[in-house]
Amino acid sequence: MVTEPRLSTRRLGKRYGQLVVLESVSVDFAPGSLVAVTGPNGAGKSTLLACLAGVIGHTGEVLVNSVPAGPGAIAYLPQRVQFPANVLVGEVLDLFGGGSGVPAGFIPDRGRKISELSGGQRRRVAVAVSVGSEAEVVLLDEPLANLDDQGRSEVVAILDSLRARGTTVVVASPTVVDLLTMVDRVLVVAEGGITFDGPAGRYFAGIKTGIWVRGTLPEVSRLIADRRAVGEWQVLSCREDRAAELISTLLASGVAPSDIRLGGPDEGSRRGSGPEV
Amino acid sequence: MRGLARFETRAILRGRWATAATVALAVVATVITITGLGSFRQLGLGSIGPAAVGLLNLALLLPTGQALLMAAMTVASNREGGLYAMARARGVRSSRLVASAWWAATLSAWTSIAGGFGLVAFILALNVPLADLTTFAALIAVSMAAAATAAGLGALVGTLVATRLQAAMLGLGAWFVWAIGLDLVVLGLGVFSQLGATGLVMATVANPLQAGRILALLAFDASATILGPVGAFLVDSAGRGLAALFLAGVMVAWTVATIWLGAAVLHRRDL
Repeated sequence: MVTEPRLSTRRLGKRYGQLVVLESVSVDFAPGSLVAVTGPNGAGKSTLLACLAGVIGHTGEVLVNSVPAGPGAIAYLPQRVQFPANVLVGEVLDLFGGGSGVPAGFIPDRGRKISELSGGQRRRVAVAVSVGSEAEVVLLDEPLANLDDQGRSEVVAILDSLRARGTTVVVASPTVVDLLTMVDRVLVVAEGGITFDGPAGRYFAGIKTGIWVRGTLPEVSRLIADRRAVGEWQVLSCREDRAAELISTLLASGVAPSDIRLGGPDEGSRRGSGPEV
Repeated sequence: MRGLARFETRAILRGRWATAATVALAVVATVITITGLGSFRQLGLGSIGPAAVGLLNLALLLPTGQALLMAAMTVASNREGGLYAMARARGVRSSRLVASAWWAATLSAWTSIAGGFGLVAFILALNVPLADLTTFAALIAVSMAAAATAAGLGALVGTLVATRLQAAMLGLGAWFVWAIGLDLVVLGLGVFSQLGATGLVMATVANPLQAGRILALLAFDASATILGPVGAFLVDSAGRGLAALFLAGVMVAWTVATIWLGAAVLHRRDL
């Protein structure tokens, strides 16, 4: 039986003046799937999500359940969200109907003003607003930005629970280390299109430049073929089919996601830093 | 999303700018009133006295500036801060977004008018005849209508710019043009005598805040000199009642048109 895609694009295109950001992108997202959209800065990750959300003009089609998206079908978290400073956390949550899908303690007290919150706490509120709705599709642009390690792992758990209840979740992020253990699929956006589309294991296996780890390295010698030091970083090489397991082991051993880079310490900041596939 | 207007109203009313505008309005209005009472033993609201002119200008200039800037900056910051993107993704229409910002800015200005002129109303109640109080109430009503019209202009301005700062700059410019600039240009060029009937009507239609000013003056027992060429022409050709109706219609039309146009612009823009 073929499952009808929950979200799909047909020949999606977007250009800013002469600059072509996306060109004829056709891609399907299954119900209850969690997809990471990654790629270097400026490649078009955020533009792709904004097109999917219907908040910017584009050519081509975006369909939810094979028809144009209706009200309430999509929840969208932009890369940069700034709520009015004088409103309360609870008022923001009430406005968007959010806050129900997150664990206790994830969001600050409902009675606190937005202006009293740190950047990370504001991001938590924004994530809670986005994931707490009844939308069938949730689009999150860098939901892990500004969050500490605990916050990042809490968001990862929230995304997992969203998928479990059948929501299609698309997450844009320049790095996907945090999402490794759970994403169903990775899309790499570059040069106006999708340059990689496959499972996370194949994505990590395609990384030719090594896995860079900062700080104390846990016991992973059985998984690596070679290691060398570059400044404060350890560059690990391994068999392609063991890359995913190596990263999972590093995370499980307590290495912070921010201390792991794929393709170098400036992962995500250079054009073309994605895996060579 | 039903509470969007309520949400934005809270955001504006809790801000220091709304408080500052209310305090400024209250202080200046009270000073004008007390000075008028002290100098002339009566405010001259029934006709046009110095204090009445001061209150009229204050009631039309400050609340309209406040409403225009608040609306422009609310729309711009909601767009800049991603709030509109989140709302549109959920199917909230642009007309609702713009109308919510307009309503919030209008309520903010109305709150300032109520707070700012509340003390003045009390002082007047103790010192002037009842007829003057009716005139004062009419002035406040016109001030509220003008603020609502200015908020519509502000909402449109907010949809045209990319940032809060641009909204503040363009909003100030727009307020200056409508509140003062157009008058100065027309007076400076001395073109009233050459405009003719159609030109005079068009001059009123083109400037809703000027329409509000003439409407307020109609509440007083104003002479043709005070009403100005446009006001005098309207009263002369249509009578006071129809002239007032026409001027109120101009303000309503501008309010509806600017909100509609703002929604159309926002609908076409990337958020």
